Amino acid sequence: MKRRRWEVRLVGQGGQGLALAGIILAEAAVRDGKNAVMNHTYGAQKRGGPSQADVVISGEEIDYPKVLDADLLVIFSEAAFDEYHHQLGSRGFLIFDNSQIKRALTECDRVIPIPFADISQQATGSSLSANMVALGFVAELTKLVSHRSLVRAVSKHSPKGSLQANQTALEKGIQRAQSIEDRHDRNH
Amino acid sequence: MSNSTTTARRRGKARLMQGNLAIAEGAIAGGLGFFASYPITPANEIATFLSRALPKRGGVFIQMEDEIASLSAVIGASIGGLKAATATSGPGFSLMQESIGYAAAVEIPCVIIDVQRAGPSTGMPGGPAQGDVMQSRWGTHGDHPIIVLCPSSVREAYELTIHAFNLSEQYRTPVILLTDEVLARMSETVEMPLPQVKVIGRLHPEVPPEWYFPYDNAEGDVPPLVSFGHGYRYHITGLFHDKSGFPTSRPDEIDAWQERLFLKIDGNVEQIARIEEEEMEDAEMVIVAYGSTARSARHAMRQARKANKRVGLVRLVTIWPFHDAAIERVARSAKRIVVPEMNRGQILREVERASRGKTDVVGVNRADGEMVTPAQIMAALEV
Amino acid sequence: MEYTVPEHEYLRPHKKFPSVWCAGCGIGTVLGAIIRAVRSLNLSKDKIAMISGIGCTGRMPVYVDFNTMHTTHGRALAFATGLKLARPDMEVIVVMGDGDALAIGGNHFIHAARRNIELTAIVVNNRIYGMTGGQLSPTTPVGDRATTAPYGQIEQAFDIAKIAEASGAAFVARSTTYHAIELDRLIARGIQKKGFSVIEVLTQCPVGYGQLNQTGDAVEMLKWFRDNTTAARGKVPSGKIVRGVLVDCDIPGYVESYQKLMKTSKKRT
Repeated sequence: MKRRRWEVRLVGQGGQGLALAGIILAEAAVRDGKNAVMNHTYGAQKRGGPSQADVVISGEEIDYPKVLDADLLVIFSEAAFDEYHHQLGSRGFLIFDNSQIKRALTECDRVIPIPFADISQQATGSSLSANMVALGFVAELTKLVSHRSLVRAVSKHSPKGSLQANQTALEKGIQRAQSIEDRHDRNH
Repeated sequence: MSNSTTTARRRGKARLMQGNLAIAEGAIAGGLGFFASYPITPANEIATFLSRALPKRGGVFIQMEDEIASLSAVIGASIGGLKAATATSGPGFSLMQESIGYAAAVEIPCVIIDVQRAGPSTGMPGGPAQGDVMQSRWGTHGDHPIIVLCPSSVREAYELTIHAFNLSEQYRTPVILLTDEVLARMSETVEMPLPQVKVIGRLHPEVPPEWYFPYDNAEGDVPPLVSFGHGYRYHITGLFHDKSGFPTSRPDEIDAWQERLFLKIDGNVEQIARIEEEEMEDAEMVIVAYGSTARSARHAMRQARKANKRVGLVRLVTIWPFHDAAIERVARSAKRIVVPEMNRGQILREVERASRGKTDVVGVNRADGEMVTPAQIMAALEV
Repeated sequence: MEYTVPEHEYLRPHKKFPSVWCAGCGIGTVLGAIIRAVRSLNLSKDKIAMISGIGCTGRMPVYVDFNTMHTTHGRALAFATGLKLARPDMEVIVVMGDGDALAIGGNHFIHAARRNIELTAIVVNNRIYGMTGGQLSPTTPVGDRATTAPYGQIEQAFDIAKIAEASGAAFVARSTTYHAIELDRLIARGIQKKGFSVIEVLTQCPVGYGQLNQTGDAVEMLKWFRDNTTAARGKVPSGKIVRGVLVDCDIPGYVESYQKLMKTSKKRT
């Protein structure tokens, strides 16, 4: 997937680690020699309020730093789903955590439900690393950043206590994307 | 902001850096020895970083009881010989206005970082704005000169912070680094190494104490300033003062002092005011922008160029003193000047004034806590 | 005591007198006490800074040959905080009026005390705004008149010493312009104290406060201080204002604590 400017928007609620996921993705891109911008916006509360992390990645200079038309819209909570899902532009993909979001939605090529929280729970015993599952999934799906840079960025930004879980979750996310790709390859 | 269309660079030659952290690191590189502030969104990361970094380096960090106290302490530390700064946002910046006037009048160097957020009043603490443009110029009572810098990228925020300290010492004046929420909180790629800027120190007097006058007009635009405790005992007052610093009500002394106070900034506009021009050689339509809005402007300009439209960008790195001559020059050749801002039209007035009716000046304004989009600017170029 | 410097050496060599203060004003007496205190401690003029705010007392630094700074209204302590942290080796004396220190500057006053920063704060309390024309101040007693309290003050007056104590000042003392020799000693002790020292000085304002409240002239007002105050020793007769050292405790000063923090921070990553 080679495009000049990539826009990824992660939305959910405070406490889900979206800023961390955004920073790791941007950091990995920088390690790969690309330009990146990460913007995190949130409500007054640190936990439970709306949270949005926007990452723009480009091989060229990034002038306008915000998301214009998201290539990927990744949604982590029902409230965010209701607010954001209609913002999906003409070309973007919508990925949502269907272990958190119980909304009936016609599945199509551009709408991908993945149970990030459940995958995290099964792999690490906690749903807290759902952000890392999503990060691995997105990175593998888009090939936006290299595996090596991603792993290093996770190590740099994970608190000591959660590094192991984050690494495990990241790999689970990557595997999930690979399995989709395999299916996709078989089908075509 | 580098204006090259950079292709992928070698690994490891860049860092992901947040705007507020770049300011904090720039302050340290600029020689910061004292920082006082009061918590406020979206400036907090600066204080958080400095509270950790300054003590290790022998510097002072103190969280004061409010923004008035913060800037007052900064001025006190500066006369104590340390390079000193504070950081705040709109509501706190309003509280600092009296002390900004004091620093301007007594000519004590200091740096004030204002991370603009949407206002008036509490407004939208997490929403960007450029509503403090006029407050940064005229917020304190009475006429006074001021220098205000507006970075447009994280890398530039670092560089301009050092530059702010330099200008402040060089011209014995408060300098305001006027940034905004977008730039403050976003993290972006910053090419390494960081810009190397020569750090300028305070000009000390060459004369013995008995011959020293802190406000001597005969010493040129900027008389040397000696900090307290070095044997040069003198008086500082916010009252109109004579060359020795004592209060005066003599119109001849006041007039001569005020002349110099203004001349040191307004007479050096060419040296102080930085303007960056892009794609201006053949430009028919010109966007004049500053701060993070200049990024929307550049995006719009590039889109327009792709469509073979002759659009140029004039970026104001320094907004005060306002570079009238540069804008008038642009107005002479441009068919239209478009001024995008996250306010209701503050620099627009200046551009209109400096254009002297020579061209059409159009504002693109929003003050709702969102960035001006490239599409909005494109629309203004079309009409 | 042997003095190495004559008293007038602490005054500015250029003629600044007569002062801005009205005839009979007590601020000059406080200025004299500060100079005598500094002289008794044999402090170098280069190492002393006098910082003031706005008002009659704000004009005091002009006359003394120290490093002097006349700041904005109410903020003298905040300016002084910055200076002291930049130059811990200097003695920083802050002079303020009652309105300056406790109305507009009340927040800075309690926080300077809370931090226990090593400053000497001298509050010249004449219970009125003199320079602006006799308005009520936060220390104007209930029932007294001011130009903005023509029917008498109905707000309770602040007790400066109690506020300083409750806020955490290491040293709190009170005296009056009648008790000038006692005042010299209290100011000297305040300067020597490591931590935030507050010296409240009851001061006559015969023109503003005096005329509005029929107190008589400056001499009558000084006599009132003599007759209505008592030393802080033994049993205090009721209705009398207590003079002398009211608080003197050893708690770490802010600068001292900050210097320790600097050392420990260097060891931490």
